[in-house]
Amino acid sequence: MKIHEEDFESELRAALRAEAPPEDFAAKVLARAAALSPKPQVIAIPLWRKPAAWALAAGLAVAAVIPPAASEYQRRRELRALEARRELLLALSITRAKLRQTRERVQKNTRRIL
Amino acid sequence: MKKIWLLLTLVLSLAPLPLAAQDGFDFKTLDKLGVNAKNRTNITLDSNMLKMAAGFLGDDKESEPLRSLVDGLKGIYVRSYEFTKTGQYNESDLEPLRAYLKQAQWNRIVESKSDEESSEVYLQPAGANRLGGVAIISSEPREVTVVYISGNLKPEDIAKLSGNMGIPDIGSGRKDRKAKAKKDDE
Repeated sequence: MKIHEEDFESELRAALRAEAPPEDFAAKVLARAAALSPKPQVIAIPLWRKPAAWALAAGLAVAAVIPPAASEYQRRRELRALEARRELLLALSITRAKLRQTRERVQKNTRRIL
Repeated sequence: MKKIWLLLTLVLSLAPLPLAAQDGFDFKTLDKLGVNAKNRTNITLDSNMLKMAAGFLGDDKESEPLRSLVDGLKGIYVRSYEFTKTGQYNESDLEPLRAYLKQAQWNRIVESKSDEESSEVYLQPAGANRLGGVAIISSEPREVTVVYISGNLKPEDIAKLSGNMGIPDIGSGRKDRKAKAKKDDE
C-alpha cells in the first residue's frame, strides 16, 4: 500500500514540477492574442468630404485668383490716374486760356475807355 | 421701441447729407447750361483724383511747379460748352453759381463786359497772403466756360496758372474752331 502511495506521490511531483516554457512561448502568446483581439475598423472617407482637402482647394483657388485680380486692380488704378492726369492738364489749360482771355478783354476795354 | 430706434438711426444717418451738400457748389445745377452744346468739356477732379493725377506728373524739375500747385488743391471743376449758334444757352443758368459766389466769402476781382462777351474772376481769400480758391466765368455768344478751383493757393499761383508750367496749350485749337464757325456764319 505504501508502495502505491509513493508511486502516486512521485507521479504527482513529476506532474507538478516547474517546467521551463519553450523559447517561442511568449511570441506565440502575443501572436495568438493579436489574432483574437478585434481589428480596428478603418473607414475610408472620400477626399471631397475631408475638411483639410477643402481648405487646401480653397487656398489654391485663392492663390490662383489673387495675383491676377491684384494686377488688374493696379492696371485699372493706373488707367484712372492717367485719365485724371489728362483731365487735370486740360482743366489747367482751359484755366490758363480763360485767364489770358480775361486779361486781353480787360486791356481791350481799358484802351476803349482811354 | 424698435421703430423709434430705426427712425432715429435713419435720421442720424441722413443728417450729414445736407451739410455735405453745402460744402461747395453743386455743379449739377450747371448741367442745363450745356443741353444744346455741340462740344462739352466736363471735368470734376476731387482731392483723391488730384492726388492720383499728381502721381503721374513726373519727378523732373520741369513739372515741379505744377506738382507744388496741385499738391495744395482740393478740387478742380470745369464746365465748358461750345454751341453752333448764338442764343443756345441761357445766361440765367449761371445765376446759381453767381449767387453762390456772392454768398460764400468770394471777392470778384475782375469783371469785364462788352456787348457779347463777359469775363468774371473771383478769388476766395483765406488768411494772410493765401487764397482758398479761384473761379472764372467766361461767356461768349457761342461759348460758356466755368472754372472753379478750390484749395490752398498763393496769389502767385494765379500768375503761374496764366503761364505755361508745362501745360499743353488748347487755346489755339479753340481759336481755330471759333474762326471757322465765324467764317461759316458769313
